[in-house]
Amino acid sequence: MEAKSIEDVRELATEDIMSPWKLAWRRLKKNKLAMLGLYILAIMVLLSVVGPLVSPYTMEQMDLSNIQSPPSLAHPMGTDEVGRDVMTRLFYAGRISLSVGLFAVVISVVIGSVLGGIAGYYGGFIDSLIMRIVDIFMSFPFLPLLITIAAVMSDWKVPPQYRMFVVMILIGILSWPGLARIVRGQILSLREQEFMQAAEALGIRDRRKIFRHLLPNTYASIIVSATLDLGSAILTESSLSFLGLGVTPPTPSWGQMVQVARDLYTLQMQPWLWIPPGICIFLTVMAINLFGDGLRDALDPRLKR
Amino acid sequence: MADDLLAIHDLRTYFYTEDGLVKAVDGVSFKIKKGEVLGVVGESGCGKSITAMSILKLIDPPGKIISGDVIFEGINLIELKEDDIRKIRGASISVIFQEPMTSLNPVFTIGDQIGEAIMLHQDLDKVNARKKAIEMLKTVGIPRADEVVDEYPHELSGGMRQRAMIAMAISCNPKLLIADEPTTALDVTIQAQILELMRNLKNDLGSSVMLITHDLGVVAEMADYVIVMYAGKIVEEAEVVELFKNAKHPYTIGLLQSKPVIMRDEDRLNSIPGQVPNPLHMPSGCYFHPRCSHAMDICRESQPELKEVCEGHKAACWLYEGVI
Amino acid sequence: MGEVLLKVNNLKKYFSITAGVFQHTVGYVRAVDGVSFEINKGETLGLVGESGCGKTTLGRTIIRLQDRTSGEVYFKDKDVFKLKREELRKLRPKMQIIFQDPYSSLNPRMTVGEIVGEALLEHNMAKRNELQDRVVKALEMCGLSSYHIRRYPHEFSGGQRQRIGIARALILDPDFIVADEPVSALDVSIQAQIVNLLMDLQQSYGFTYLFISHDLSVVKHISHRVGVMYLGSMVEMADKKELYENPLHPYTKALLSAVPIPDPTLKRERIILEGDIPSPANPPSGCKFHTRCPFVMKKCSEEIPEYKDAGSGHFVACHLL
Repeated sequence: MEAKSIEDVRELATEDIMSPWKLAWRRLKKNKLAMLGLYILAIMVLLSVVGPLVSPYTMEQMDLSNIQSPPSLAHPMGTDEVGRDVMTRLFYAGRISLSVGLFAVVISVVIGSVLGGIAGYYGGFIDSLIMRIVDIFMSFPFLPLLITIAAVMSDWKVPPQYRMFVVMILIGILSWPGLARIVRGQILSLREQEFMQAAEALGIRDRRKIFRHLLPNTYASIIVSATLDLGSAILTESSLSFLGLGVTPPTPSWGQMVQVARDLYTLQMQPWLWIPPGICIFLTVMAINLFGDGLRDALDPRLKR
Repeated sequence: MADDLLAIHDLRTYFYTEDGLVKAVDGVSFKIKKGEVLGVVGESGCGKSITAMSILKLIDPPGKIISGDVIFEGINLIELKEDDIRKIRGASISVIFQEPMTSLNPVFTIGDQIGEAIMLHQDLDKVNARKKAIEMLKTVGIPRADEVVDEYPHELSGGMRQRAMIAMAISCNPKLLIADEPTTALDVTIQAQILELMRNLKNDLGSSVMLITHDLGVVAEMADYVIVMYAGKIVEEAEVVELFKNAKHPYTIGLLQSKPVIMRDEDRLNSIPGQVPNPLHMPSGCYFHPRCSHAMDICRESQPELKEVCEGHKAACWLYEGVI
Repeated sequence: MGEVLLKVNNLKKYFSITAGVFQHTVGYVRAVDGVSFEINKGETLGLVGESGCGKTTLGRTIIRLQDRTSGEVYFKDKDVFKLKREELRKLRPKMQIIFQDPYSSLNPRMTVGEIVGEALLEHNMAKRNELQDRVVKALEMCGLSSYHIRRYPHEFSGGQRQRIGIARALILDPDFIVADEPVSALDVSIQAQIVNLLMDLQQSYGFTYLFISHDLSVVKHISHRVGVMYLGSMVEMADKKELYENPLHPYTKALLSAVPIPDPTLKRERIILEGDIPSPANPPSGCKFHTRCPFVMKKCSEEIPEYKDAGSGHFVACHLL
């Protein structure tokens, strides 16, 4: 069998094992836009994490002798109405905005994938019940609800640092249904795959069937939709904070920093106060979306062929 | 020469995929005579369908026709503009696909779809086009043709859909009918019906047929002349009787032996070892050499040309070098 | 031969058709409609039929991958449908299945080693330290190599994937294997490799196969006995030689004559059946084949023909006899 041996040699020569994740990463690396998104995102995260540590100012350090000064060497992005360094606040705001988004998505992924998984795996009545709950959540008037809650929180004088957590939890709780639907759909189609029948025919126990066969095949779509959700969570947080309903001063967030632009004078005369956070929101969300789309292209294509 | 309907010369269609260059059709030349059934045989990925699609310039990016001539009734189709070739598609040359469900539009009735082709290429109004559509459906043996004309593709069975597809294809009396695996998706008894239908239609209409299939049985029954393709190249061609009786290329011989025949008893099938080569990493020399039991040194080094090995019989194999 | 390994008795499997908001049942698809047969130890029973004849459903129901509607299946004298969940799970390794689609039948996120070896661990049939050796041995039996063990399915071609599927079944040392169209999705030159492999394994290990296929020539090649199904019923079953040389049922005759033969000089009498296969949701009365049968009589549309022995184990259901 000469033919055989030639083939063996060729296969051995390319002996780097391509796991599905490795393969996806290789595909992702080829996608220039997605990689651009990843780099921008990495820079944003880096600045938010490291920025405050290297900055000579602190978030709350006021310099009343130097208020509303335009960008200078000492303050590259100028100072605000009480003389705080805008760049330093921008770094801190990034921490808040990114982590609010991240925690909201984590909450949404946990609820969404558990409930979606249960609905898909058990089907029948449980499925109908969970999906009706999803329908209810999806028809909730999101904004009026948040405005009400914000008003209540102001009334009860909830301290600003707690309001941030409330915002995270709210965004998470309100955004899980989309993910639950995706996971349920995945599980339903996976259950029809012949490898699930094969697992049954092999006498594999239910637990292993769920954790080793079903779930790993849903990770890809969960990661993709969680990534894209992260973008919209950050955007939601910004909008809420801009409206004064989310993160409130003195804690900065990007959306809340843009809020100053509501004042016509600031809008026209002090662009250094609102342009940088605006650009940060724009860049971050766009980077996340570019990266998420690339991730979908890399993870989703039928690995099969 | 006069009776050649279609002549393809050195056709090359390449795909520029993300992972590299795939030479799907790599220097293919053949002719189809008037009234002839040309069988094109090969396994998946051998380039037989891409060849057919290249004739009508139905190649989408990342695919591209790199070079070659497709001379149809004296016109080189490759040089035609999109508008001009559209007049040929569906009129002088029409195609039957493997899976009728995906090639019929699910939101239009059968009548609409056949009528559309008729109205486009023949000067008929809507009423007459519909009449013609019903007539075509009757021609292909669809019962209740005047009802079926108003039905949607999903209401028909696989066999009936394929008949409707054929009705659409022959509605403009094409000179060349390209049938790409027309019966692969069908059951054996339905396949027999469709093959019978195609045979009768061909005789009545006098069109030429390019029949693409992986099934040697279908080729033996239908074709006059056969081309065997492997990895984007023609490896052997001959008249059908000659090819089956006197196959020369080790790949053709292997194919013939690897399929059990219902009328014969074999102890063991003669399989071709190995896999169809990865189009991104073609072997050196003859593409078939890693799987060939006759492989010699020269096979690994250079590619054999398609040459006459005996009268009216060509093969691309070093075994026959210098035989004629 | 002689020892019966599997006995199927009047097995029925209906799928309900539901409609409306409350998903009430409006009808049944009679996928398998009263089928009885036996498979002897060490033999290959071929099962042929066209799409919708219920051959795949039959294959999956007899190893209880899905529930039956009625009837019994005895595997080594045990009623498969009376087993409790855990008893069934323990019996599973003895009854294996090879699937048609080499793409969807392997979990894309598991390595070949895990796919082939996982059931051994689940059933404590191997210790962890001997697992790798067992897997490598099974892969090598199926014409794969030891270095394939850490690779993922997407790196393999269709034929190789089918070999992985066979290794996954083989490693459990099963008594009975349902091969459900195992070569239909493969190229002709690869089909022969897989057919040869299945036959070699039978020689070495004495496997019993139920070989399901729509390809009459492949079934003829691999089987000892062959059954023909039409719309959920077995219409004919006999020894291979007998069935192919002396078919009794008009459907079998038509089916055999419809197979294209790779010999252009051969001219055959061909029986071309009229019409389409009826829907199993609404099968014809009496003999289900009567709507397409060239020899149909009045009796055929009224009375269901009995499936009986026409002599020396040649079973057929037809009023002509």
